[in-house]
Amino acid sequence: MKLAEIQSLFQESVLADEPSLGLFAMLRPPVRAENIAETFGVYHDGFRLRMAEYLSNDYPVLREALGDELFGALVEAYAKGRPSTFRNARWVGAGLPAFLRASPLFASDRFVVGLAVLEAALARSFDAADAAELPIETLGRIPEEDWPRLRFGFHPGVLVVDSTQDALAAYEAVQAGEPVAAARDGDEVALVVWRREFDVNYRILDDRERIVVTQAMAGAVFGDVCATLAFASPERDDGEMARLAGGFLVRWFADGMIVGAAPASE
Amino acid sequence: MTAKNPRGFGLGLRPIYYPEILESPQPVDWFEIISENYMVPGGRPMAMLDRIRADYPMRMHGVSLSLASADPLDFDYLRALKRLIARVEPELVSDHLAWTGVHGLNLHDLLPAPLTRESLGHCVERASRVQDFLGRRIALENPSTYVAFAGDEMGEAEFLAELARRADCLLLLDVNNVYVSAFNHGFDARAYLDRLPRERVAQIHVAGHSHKRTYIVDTHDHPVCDDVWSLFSYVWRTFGLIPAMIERDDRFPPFSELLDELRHMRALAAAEEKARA
Repeated sequence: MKLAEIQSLFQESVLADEPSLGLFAMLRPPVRAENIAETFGVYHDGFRLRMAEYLSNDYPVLREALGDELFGALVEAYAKGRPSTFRNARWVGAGLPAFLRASPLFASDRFVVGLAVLEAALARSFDAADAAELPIETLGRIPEEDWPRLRFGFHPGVLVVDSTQDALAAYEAVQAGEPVAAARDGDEVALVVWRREFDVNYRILDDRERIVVTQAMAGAVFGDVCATLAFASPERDDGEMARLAGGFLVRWFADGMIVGAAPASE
Repeated sequence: MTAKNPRGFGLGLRPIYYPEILESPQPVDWFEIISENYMVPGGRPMAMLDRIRADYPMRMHGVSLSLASADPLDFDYLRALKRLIARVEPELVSDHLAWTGVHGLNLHDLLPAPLTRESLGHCVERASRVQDFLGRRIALENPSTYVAFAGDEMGEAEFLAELARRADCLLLLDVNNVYVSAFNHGFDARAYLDRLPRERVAQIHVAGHSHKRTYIVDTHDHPVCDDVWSLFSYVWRTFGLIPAMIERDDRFPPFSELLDELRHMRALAAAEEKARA
C-alpha cells in the first residue's frame, strides 16, 4: 500500500468512532498491550482529548454552563462536523459559533450561541494584531472643514458581536466565581469587544452606537455616520445627532479603539 | 553552518512561567518556543516573546510541519514560519519526523511515519525543499510512537540517519521519546542511540511521561524519571557536548522545580565530562 493510502486509512481510523480493522491488519502486534486497539487508542482517544482541551481553552464559560457531558457531546460533534484544517491549534475552536448556528441541536439555543459568540470574540481580540492607539488630542488638530470626510481606523482587536443577556450574565457570573443561573432570558444584546495593551474589554452597545460603530468600522466617513444617526432619529435635530456622534467618537478614543483618523480623499 | 551548536542548557518557554522569567534573570542559557504558539497576529503572546527574546537566546520547535504527510507542503505555514524565524533569530529550528494529517486536515498530533523506502524518499525531498525555502538547515526530532507498521523496511534510527544524510539536515534527539518508543516497541534504547549519526545531533530534549503499565505515553506532565536521566547520561558520554533542555507541557510545577531539574541535568552532564576527562 502506498504512503498516501496508509495515511488516509490511519486518519480515517482516528476520526471514526471505531478504527478500521483494515488498518489494524497493517500494524505490528503490540509488545505488551493486549491488542493493537489499546495502543492505537493513544492516537484515537488523544485526538478527542485534544479537541476538548482546545475548545475548553477558548470556551471555558460555555463548558461550565453546559456541564462536562453536554460540552463533551458538543466537542465530539464539532470535531466531526468541522475537523481542523489549521496548522495552529489556536484556531481550532474559532468556527464554533458558526457551527452552532448551523447545528440542529443548538441553532435555536440563543444562550449557547450567544455565549460562544462572546467567548470567540474575546479569544480573537486577545491576540489580534497590534496597533498604536491614537491620542484623543489628535481630534483637536483636525480642521473643522475636514470633519465630514474624516475616516477612522479601528484597532484590529475591536469586534462588534451580537450575543444575549443571559449569555453575558453567565460570563460575568463565572468571572465573579458564581454559579451560572439556570433561568434564561434570550434577549439580544450587542457588545463591542476590544483589547487595550493585553487586557480584553467589552461593553454593551445601545442600538444607535451599534449602528454607527459598525458603519465607522466598515470605513464610513464621519459625515455619513452623523447622517445615519439623523435618519435613525428624525425627531432629533442634526446638531443633536452630531453631538451624539461626537460623544461616541470621544469614547472610542478614550477606550483606545481608534488607531487612525484622516480625511478621505475626494 | 556547522552541526555543533554552542553548548547550553535550556527550558521550553511556556506562558505560565512568563512572570518568573520576566521578574528576574534566570539560570537558563536559552529558551525553546513552540513555533505555532507565536504564529498569531499580536497581543500578549508576541509581546512576551519579544521581551524574553531580548534577554535570552531562543530556539524554535514546531509541531505542524507535517514532514512525512502525503499532502503537499503547506507554503502558507512555511511563510509564517519564515516570518517568525526572522523575528526570533533562533539558534535552531526544529520539527518532527511525523505527519499531522492528510486531505487538508490536521489532527494536531505527531502521527507515526511508515518507515519504508518510499516514505524516506518522500521525507528527504520535503526536508530539502523546506530547508531551501527557509534558507537554513532544520533539525528533525525522533517522535514517540505507539504503533508500528508491519510493512516497515528499516528501523527508526536508520531512517533518521539516512534522512539526515540525504537531506543534509540536523537531528533533534529526544531522549525521552527514545525511551518511550523503546518500551512500546521492545527495542534496545542504547542500540538505537548508537545507530544515530552523532555529528548531526544539534539538540537534546528530555521530558517526563505517563506509564500505562503496558505502554508509555509521552505526556510531558511529570518530572524526568531516573531511567531517562540514565539514558541522557549515556548520550552525554557518547555523543559529546550538545545543547540540551527539559520540556514540560502539563501539570506545571513551580518554576523553581523546573530549575532544580535543570540543575540536575547540568550536574549529570558535568559528571560525565569529568569522567571523560
